Amino acid sequence: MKKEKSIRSAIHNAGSFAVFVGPGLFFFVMTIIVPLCYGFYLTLTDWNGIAKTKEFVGIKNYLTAFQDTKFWGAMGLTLIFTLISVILVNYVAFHLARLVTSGIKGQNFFRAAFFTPNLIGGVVLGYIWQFIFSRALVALGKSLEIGFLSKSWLSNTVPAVCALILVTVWQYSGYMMLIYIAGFMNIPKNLKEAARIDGCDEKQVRKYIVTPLMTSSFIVCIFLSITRCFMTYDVNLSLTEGNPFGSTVMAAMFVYRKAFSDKNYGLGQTEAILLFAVCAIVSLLQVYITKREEIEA
Amino acid sequence: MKKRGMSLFMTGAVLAGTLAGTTTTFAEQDLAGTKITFLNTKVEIQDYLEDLGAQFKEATGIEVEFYTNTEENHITEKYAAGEPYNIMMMDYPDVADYQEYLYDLTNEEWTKDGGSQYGLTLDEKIYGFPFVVEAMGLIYNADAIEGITGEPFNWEDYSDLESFKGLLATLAEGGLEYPVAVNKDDWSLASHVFGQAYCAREDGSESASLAFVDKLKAGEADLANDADFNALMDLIDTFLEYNINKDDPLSASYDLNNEYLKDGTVAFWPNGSWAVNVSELTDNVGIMPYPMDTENAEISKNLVSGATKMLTVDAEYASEEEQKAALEFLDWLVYSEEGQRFLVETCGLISAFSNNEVEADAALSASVASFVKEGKATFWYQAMPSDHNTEVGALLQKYIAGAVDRNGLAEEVAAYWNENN
Repeated sequence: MKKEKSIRSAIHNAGSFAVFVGPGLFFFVMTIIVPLCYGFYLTLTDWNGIAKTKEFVGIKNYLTAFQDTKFWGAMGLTLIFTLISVILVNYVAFHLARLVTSGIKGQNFFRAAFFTPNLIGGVVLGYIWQFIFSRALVALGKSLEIGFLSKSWLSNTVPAVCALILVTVWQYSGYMMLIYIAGFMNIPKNLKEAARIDGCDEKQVRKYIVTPLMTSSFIVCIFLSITRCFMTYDVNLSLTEGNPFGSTVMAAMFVYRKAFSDKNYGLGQTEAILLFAVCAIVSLLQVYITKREEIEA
Repeated sequence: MKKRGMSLFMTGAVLAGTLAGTTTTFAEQDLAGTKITFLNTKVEIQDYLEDLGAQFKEATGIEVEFYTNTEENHITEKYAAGEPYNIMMMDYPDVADYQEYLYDLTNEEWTKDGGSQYGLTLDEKIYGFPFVVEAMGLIYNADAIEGITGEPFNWEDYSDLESFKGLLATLAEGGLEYPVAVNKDDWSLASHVFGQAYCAREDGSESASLAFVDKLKAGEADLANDADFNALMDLIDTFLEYNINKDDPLSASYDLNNEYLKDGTVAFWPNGSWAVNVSELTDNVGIMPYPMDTENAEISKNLVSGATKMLTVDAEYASEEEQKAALEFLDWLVYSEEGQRFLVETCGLISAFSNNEVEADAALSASVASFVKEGKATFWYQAMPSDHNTEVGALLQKYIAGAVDRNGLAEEVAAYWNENN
């Protein structure tokens, strides 16, 4: 009797599992795991994306990828871009969140206003800012005789990267701001009051009470911004298109061009896997390190 | 019983005889009702194609569905999904990539009427039907020029670098300070401006061009000391000196340059014959060969032209009926009155077929047609590797921005070809 019951309950559990998790798991496997495995298989071939036959070449693509200086150049650029963007996005988002939870007039309006850039898709955003940088600002710079605005930022490498960072910060600050707002709202008021009664001024309250309790928000926001900046493609394409002369091509765009435009799918897929590996290592390291700092209220 | 058997046998034999004689009409009738798909990569003619499809359906009963998509890898995606279009309009360089999937068109009738000259041949088989002949060169707005010089503009007077420079100086003094619009787009610079380096040289023939490219691939071409290469670069330097976008060459916009030429803000635009809308405001526009000081002076009198868009037929996934219907459509384009008028009159393009007597309307197309008819055409080399536009385009962008000098450019271009053989 007992055995029958336990078998029945095991089946019942398995059934609930299948009903609740099944569909999600199915889609996850079909859209992420299967392409990942097939992609890994393709890295071991010299397929060009079109041909009928795929020749097995072993790890030749990996050797080529490790020696591909252009690829690592693009990775380096992506790393620098990600580092600066993540710091700026989180700094701006944190302070915006503090602003709109401090009880100023019209703060709901401001929350919506700051979040709106995120709603405009990356491609449209890039085209709008491209117009601003190459036409609007240049016209302004020429008429007011401001030197560094008279030439389009997008015609030189360093200003173009700055433009990319600016647009990315503009796009993501609103989104991260929402997460920080939720974090701020979750800090119990009585802790802050207790600190004030004990003689802390506002700065010390912020440093010793608020910021440590915001750690979980930091973890989430930094993780999200790192992964999104690493994989940037839409803004890269619409704002600079890799120009001037291919010097602002970031890792995702490089991989796409290698696989499809250069018709070297095997190598492109290999570099995509390397990009994934680097991004995964960086994000997991970041989560591990910051999670040790997390405390519960 | 025997009689019955005999009569049945006789009826059967007669029937079989009549059927054998009528296979061609039966085949056409079989095709009526077939649906085929057509990928159009020239967005501007999509509406005209759909009208043409209606005419074709009336004539043969075959329905053609026209789809338009200019995305770079669309055809690759369709083949990956196993659902390619029956007829695909491809750019010249792309046909080779899909060779193993395509129908061999060598035995089609239209090959003798210009198809073999302008079509695309790979391994001695014809895979591409030449849809349109285009040309690349220097577009000019004669109104803008005549407004300053006061005399009718004849491009032949300015087909060497000295005279051309003289004309530009005259225009600059007369009020058109920067009479040239240079594009910044990598495909434009790589294929159409720098692309002249591969074919507008020596005697302008196909064999000369291929021999030159072979030398580049083997790393044996000394570009820095090549007279024809330097002639082209001298001309490009002249363009850049009088470039309306000179302040910031990399912030030029193709559409804005188009407008400049259309309304006469600039007099010259190095581009190609597809920019037909430049004659919207005045018919006094045309296209001329690059006025370079090449070793062979004839080069600057002949226009670089060739078929750029090829129609290919899928043989891998299309059924036999669909393939036959596709071939019907190609024949109809060449031999029917509607097909001939469609390309030249309706779309304002230039046909590759010698049996097409229709006259081109659009000023730019008429200009090119006169060169082609008189045989003043230089071979247009288009078989660069797929990343040529991105890689060499980036090098040209560096050049026009002043980030690399002529020798540096020559070295990097030579290195590119050496790696890509």
